[in-house]
Amino acid sequence: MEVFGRNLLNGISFGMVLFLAGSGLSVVMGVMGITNLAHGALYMLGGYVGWTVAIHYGMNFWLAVFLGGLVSGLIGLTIERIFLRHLYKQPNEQVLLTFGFVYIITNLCIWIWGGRPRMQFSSPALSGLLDIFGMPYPITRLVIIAMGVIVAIVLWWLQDRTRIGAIIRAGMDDKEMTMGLGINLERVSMLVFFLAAFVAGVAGVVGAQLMGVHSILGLDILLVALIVVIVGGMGSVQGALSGGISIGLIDTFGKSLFPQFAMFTMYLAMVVILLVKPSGILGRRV
Amino acid sequence: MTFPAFLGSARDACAAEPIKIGAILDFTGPVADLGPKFKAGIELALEEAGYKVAGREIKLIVEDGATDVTVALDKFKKMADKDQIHICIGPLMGDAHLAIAPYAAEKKVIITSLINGMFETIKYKTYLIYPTTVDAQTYPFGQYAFQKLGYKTMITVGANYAGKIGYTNGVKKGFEDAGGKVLQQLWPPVGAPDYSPFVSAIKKADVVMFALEGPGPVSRFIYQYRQAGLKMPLITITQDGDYTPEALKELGDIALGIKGEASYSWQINTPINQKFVKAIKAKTGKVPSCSEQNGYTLAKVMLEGLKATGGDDSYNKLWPAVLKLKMDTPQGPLSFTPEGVAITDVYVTEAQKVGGEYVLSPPLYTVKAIRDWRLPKK
Amino acid sequence: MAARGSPLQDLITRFLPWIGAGVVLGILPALLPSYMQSIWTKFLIFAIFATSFDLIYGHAGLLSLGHAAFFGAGGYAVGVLMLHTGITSFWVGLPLGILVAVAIAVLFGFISLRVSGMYFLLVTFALAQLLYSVAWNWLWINSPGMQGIAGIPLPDLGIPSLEWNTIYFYYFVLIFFCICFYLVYRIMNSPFGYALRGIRESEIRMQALGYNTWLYKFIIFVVTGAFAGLAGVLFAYFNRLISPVYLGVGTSFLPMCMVIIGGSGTRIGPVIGAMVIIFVEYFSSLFTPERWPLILGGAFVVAIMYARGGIVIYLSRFWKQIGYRHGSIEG
Repeated sequence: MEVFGRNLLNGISFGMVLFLAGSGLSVVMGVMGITNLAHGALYMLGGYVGWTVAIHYGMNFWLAVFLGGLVSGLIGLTIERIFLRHLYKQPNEQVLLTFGFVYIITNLCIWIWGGRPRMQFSSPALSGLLDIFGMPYPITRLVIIAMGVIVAIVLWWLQDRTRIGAIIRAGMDDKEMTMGLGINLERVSMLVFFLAAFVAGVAGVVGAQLMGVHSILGLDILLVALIVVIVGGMGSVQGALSGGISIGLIDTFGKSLFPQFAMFTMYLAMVVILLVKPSGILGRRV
Repeated sequence: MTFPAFLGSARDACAAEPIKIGAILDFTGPVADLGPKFKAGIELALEEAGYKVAGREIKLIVEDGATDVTVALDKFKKMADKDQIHICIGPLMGDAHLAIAPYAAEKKVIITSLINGMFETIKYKTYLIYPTTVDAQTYPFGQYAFQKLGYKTMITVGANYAGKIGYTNGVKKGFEDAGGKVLQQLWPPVGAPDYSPFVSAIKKADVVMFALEGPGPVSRFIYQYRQAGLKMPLITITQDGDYTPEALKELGDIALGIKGEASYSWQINTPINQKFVKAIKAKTGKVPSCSEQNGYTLAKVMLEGLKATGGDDSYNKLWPAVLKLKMDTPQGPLSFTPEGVAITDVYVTEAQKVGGEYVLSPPLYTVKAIRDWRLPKK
Repeated sequence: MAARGSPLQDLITRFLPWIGAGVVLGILPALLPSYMQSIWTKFLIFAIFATSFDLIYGHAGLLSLGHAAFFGAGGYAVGVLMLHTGITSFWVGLPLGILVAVAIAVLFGFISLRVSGMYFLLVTFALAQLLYSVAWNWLWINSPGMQGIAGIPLPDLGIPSLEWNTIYFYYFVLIFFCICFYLVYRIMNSPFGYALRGIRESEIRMQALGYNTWLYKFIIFVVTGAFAGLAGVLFAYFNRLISPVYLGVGTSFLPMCMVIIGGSGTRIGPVIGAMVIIFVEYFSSLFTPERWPLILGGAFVVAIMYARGGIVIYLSRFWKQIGYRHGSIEG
């Protein structure tokens, strides 16, 4: 029973990191029709920045989370403003462009931070164990779950309950009409892109508590985020959340029960969804 | 320094050309810490020889293998085809050995391992396996766990790639040959971000042995093991990149008391080692781990071999010359089997806290002249 | 149009590119040192790979992000054949490699073409990574003790007196390159090729005209898989090692770069792109090997933003300016 409870919480906490990593990607894909393959690199960049703030300069962990998000957000915004904007209506070229940035950002990270991976780090205040029904459980993971929930609520509120969210959803359905109503969709798109990149950077620091930071994260996280999008459905916060939690649980329980298939569980889930419901668990259309 | 042109016989003209020694080390990737350490060791040996041997200059060409077998092979091909090296120190990873060995045999280039070697490469007759094969290195430790530490049952957790699979299998065989029983073997994939599924699958035994691919995974594993509240003692392999001074500092208290097998400790109490430690400290500011030592000793082996052949670095002359060497190294006495596998001593060590600093202990136990059990007896 | 020259001048300008290519590809390599010859061989192999990618991207307009799956599959077939049966005969390895690549392409094509647009990209990417993961873990297709298959020898052509060296292997690959180049030209200029370009422009219009667009896309997907598999077979013999890396995204990225930089939708664009990338990689390995991904990514971004037609566009303008009247280089 304890093993099950531990796996459950581990799966959910891991799933929250996946949600944080994938939510930005999913929303940008659904809202702006841009597949930002550099999303994983932005996650990694945030993680490196967070490490510098928290470990190299020894400052507050939450400051590190914020700054990690901020730097990634700004870099993401730069990519959008200077490059992607000029490729409007050319989705293939946009995707290719972002792929090029994966290489650029990854190599710049190696140049700045060196090839050595960074071990997982967190706030010293979170380093203990909490007793949950007699089972000692690390506080960092509980905090990750809490953060995931908070971010999910905030994003969902933005998406469903604010004017901005309504504009985004309208733009997703019919861009021309929305612009025809006099709404500055471009400004809103900029904001969405920045926010998505910001969340990716935040995810990088939050996830670093579990996984540390290394130079292959750019591609590793991209793959995971893509699977989250495929499984959960693109374009919505709830889609990313359902995808993230599902994959987190499947991966954790899979590794625990069938260790020899450790690498496959995620892919299996993806292939099953593609065959059964290609638009994803909470996806809107194929 | 070159020979004056008017001394020109064909032999002198040949002697004027530098001997090129290649090295494939990893400066990027999971073991990126170790590249500069190996390099420091190799350079120290060459510096001590003045970058000359038997009247010929030595040119060291260092390439980054990036811990990627395809990159290592590409770099090796470049050095063999373009730079025309006949000696290559490294690469580190076992799969790179397997990939490069057939090509090296074709091109007649002598290669050396860096931390241990793959038994399968022996058949190519160009591979110097130092300090010994992966499995043979940890076999005595398996015996030690049963005979001296008194454990009867064991669970192994080994990262799922050649190097650590070999270590784990060596420990298992030694342990079981001595009378113990391995109850369960777990193989987390390389780069697993989360060991908790594996930790939660660990059953009950007298001891848990783990061998993972670097200080990051090691710290994650120990951390998550303790977080899960498991009480069984841990043992590991206390060498490679896991127990460099930097890694010990990052691991901190959680590594204390975990015994392991190592091929070297800087606290080995011999004059040749003390001289070596002093030289490395002067060069890099830190005490050596087995990386610096192995780089140093391998370069010295090459130098001694070249001395014996009078500067001839061709395979046909150099390979037999190296196999005949008997040397004292900072790590201990060294000789080679006819197949090219080194015969060395191996030790048991652990992490210690001495005066606020985390260091690798002196040898707690020594096994002399280990030799892979699969090699034909002398 | 430039003024017409004499018939002899016309003949020369018409055939000059071919003569030039003949010299560069046929004669020059024989004069180079051995290591450079192997670089040229690598360029030819990747030119085939890039051309196969251009067929699906430049002509059919489908961005397949996991094209290395077919490349690597061909290579693995050769490796597994050697590993488990000891057969190194090229005449077994080549058809087997292409067959395996085609089988993978059929399977992946079915799954990927169930979705379109953004999802298609993601699925092709994820499927290639799945194959990577399989190759990493499935013990049967790995040399013992490592990921991938090492020690792949040079191909056995069944000619007893033939001893391989670098230049022989180069000309061997050159033969296949020419065959592929010709085949692609035939495909591009066939009714099938025209239909593909129609689908790229507007799939709905083609469907309205009664074309079974799914079938066309599926066929070209499999055909390009076959070409990529061929390149993979040659690569396995060239590289002497096949590894999961060659199934992964890093390898998929290379033909994309080559096609964008060289010029997509053209016949020689991918070839020129391959030449540029392989040689810049070589020079980078001499001076700044650790910055190569940055150079590659940077060149790629610049090409997408500012040089959309690729180098081919500049070449073709240059050529037209000096009176070349053999129609366009565009196939």
